[in-house]
Amino acid sequence: MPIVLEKLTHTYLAGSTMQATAVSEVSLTVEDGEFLGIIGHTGSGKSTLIQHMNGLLQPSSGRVTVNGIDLADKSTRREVRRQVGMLFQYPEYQLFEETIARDVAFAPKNLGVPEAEIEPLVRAALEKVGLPYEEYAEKSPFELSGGQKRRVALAGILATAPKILILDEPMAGLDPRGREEILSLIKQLNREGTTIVMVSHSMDDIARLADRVAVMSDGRLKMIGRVQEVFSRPEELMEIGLDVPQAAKIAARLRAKGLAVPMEVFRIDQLREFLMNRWKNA
Amino acid sequence: MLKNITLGQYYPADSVVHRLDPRAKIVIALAYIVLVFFVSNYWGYLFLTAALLGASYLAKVPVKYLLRTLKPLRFILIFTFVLNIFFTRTGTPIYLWRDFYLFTNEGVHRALFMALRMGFLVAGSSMLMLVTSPITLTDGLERLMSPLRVIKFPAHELAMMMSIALRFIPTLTDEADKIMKAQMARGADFESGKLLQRAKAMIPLLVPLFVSAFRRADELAMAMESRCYHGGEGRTRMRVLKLGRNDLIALAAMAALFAVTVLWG
Repeated sequence: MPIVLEKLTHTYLAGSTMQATAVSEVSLTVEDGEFLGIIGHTGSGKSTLIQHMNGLLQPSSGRVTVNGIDLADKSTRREVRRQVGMLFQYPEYQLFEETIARDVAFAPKNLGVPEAEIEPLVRAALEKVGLPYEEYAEKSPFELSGGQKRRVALAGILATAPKILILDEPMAGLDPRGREEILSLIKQLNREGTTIVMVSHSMDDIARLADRVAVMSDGRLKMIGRVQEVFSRPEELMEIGLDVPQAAKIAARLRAKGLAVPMEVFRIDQLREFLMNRWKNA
Repeated sequence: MLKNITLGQYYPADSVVHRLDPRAKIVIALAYIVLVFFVSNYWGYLFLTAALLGASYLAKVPVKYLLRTLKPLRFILIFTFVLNIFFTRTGTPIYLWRDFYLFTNEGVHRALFMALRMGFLVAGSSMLMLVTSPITLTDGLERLMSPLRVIKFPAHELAMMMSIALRFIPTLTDEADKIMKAQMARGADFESGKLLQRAKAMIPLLVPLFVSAFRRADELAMAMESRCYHGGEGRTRMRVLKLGRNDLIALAAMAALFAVTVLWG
């Protein structure tokens, strides 16, 4: 189920004095099973962009299709939202039910999953995020820790078994351990075939997980390409106020010193391997 | 979708009117509202219109914006008009066909008058909101009410509560918008269904919103206390309000309008 954006433009408060174009003329395709990272500084239109991918926002002009279904058509919206899960920033603030199981069941219930299928889906979703059903189902989501709450929120999205997962800063505000848990969970989901679109400020996270990266700046799509291509152009990224992964920075400096570090090296593990090999051969 | 709700109507611009002392503006707006009730003929409304247009010209506020503030009231305005026009039975009937009539000349007159009065009340107070930012407005109110402290009226506390409430309106609207979207992504439907269903559909929005409002209140209280806030006692201000020449001119203009309208309007 590819997501295709064609010349997508979104203008907030069109026609008023506070009119602001958040996204302009963005065309891109999210391929099946890929992991697409979206980077850009605050206010570059990332969040607005991804909210078009399940019809939460309608483009001012342009077109969005998911698996060939035009999202301007309201009648298909339920089906699309079931297939395209979206996790917002700080998703733990959307929890509201009395028990975790009921909160996780919210999406499948709304999206027309038959009653009998809901419980197994909830169970599977909770197990997936590492919260055993028996132990957590009847607890209140408000008694959990921050990291656990986030996992419940993620389970609430996974409960409809979406084919595509859109994540807005899923690791923001978590401690290192919580980050690692969510990160490896996302990686696992992607490996199992879920298409993932992730917005992040952390270049290192993107470098570790993504296949391709889209760079947004001032509402426009500045670059899109494979991770190594994008991160091998640090000057352009710096120019629009973005960073490159730590390893890519070190590699660039080594290159400047005359060491032939290949362009594919932009992750810590790759860099270590390259340097170790070089050291052994020397 | 919540973005379209403008609770504060402030129209930011750099104008003489915007720079007036908020106290002067509040007094002028109050006088204007009182004046609306003194109007007894159409000349009076002409004076009031002229004053309003003049103010909006000086304030660089498009008249369109001023008219827009009347929009939420359109049903009440129409209702008042219709009620007055059909239920006034005194005066000369206006015959539509032989001896059949729907309304009298006095009915038309009274309906127009009432609708206009209501319109001017709203337009007048909206004008104040359009040209005064909420923060300066509460500042002005606090100063105007401060003499009442003698009778133990909590002027400062009231103003502080008002400015906090105003400050948090956009924050909470944003928050509501975010939660709404998050729940919509989970298939929540806020827009269709019967009344009871719709009310029920609000629970997933309201519970998180209340939770976050309490959390914010807590954080704010902590932040204020850590900066030694202890009420208005002995607190000095960074921007001291001062009546200037323009304020006096504006007050004088209002007094003139008042006199003219009471005499001839």
